[in-house]
Amino acid sequence: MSFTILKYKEVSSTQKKIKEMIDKNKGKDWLVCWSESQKEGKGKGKRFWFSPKGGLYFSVLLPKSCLDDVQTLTFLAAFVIARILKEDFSLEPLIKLPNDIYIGPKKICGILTENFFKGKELLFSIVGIGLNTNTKEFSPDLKERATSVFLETKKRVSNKKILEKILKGLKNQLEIISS
Amino acid sequence: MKRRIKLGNQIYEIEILKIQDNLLKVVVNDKEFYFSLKENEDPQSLSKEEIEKIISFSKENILKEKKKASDIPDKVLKSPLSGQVSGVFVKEGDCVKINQKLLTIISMKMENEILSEIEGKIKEIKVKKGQIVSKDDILILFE
Repeated sequence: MSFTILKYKEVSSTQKKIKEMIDKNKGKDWLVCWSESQKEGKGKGKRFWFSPKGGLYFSVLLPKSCLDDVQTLTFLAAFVIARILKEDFSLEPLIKLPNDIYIGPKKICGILTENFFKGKELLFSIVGIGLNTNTKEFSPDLKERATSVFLETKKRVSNKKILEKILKGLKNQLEIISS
Repeated sequence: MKRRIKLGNQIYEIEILKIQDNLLKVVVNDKEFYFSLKENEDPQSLSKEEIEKIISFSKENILKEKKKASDIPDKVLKSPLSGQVSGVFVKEGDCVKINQKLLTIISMKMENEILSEIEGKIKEIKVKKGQIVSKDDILILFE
């Protein structure tokens, strides 16, 4: 199955955008909403994810999971991204369970999983990912707590390539774990 | 409630009890009398047989009702996972539609939206915002 990637210049949040698509019956497995920046990138609860141009921000609608524990989805995404950071950029990522990735003391990636149940039946899951790739600077309050691939490696990276790699990795891992 | 009345020199202790919709029990000085109680009719004294018939019929009905209630259990919404209720979007008495958002539960930093699988009226909400719930806990009862 191929991915359907919808790219935006700016949205309020990719998580919100993908939910709008679902509400309009345009949701389908592996639909991806990707935006160059987010005005109100969604973090856990009512927190925001700092989302200036340069970073990689997307939400993916996952096929109905046959996993008994939906929490595994977040772990899988964290594992896939950490592996890319390590193998492609020689970084030393630390997964802070269940949903954040750090380089040393600084956060580089946040993962937000939202599940939708009809009664007890899982309908679908959306995984939202904010990965600081080419972010050159952070606001003063985040400076000490956040980093990016660019700040760590001094190299610009291709968001498109990383996005595709994450999606393929997620798909592979889901297939492995579900079989 | 017992009442005392005086007829001539005799004092009577009387208690009137409506034991069923159609049956009146009158106790006079510890002696029991039963009367039928029908709309627009004066109470009539009943024979022992008639009383038994009414009581057994009513018992049968009660049993039937009970059976009926156990055959059709309350429609319930149980929690699909353990976590903390982060939002309740309906209130008791609300009529909800299929796929309407009822509650959100945060579990291991995941947000879970619980949508209604039935169309109906909410009888009781068993949980409050902030409450910790376990998997299979009853969240909402429907009528």
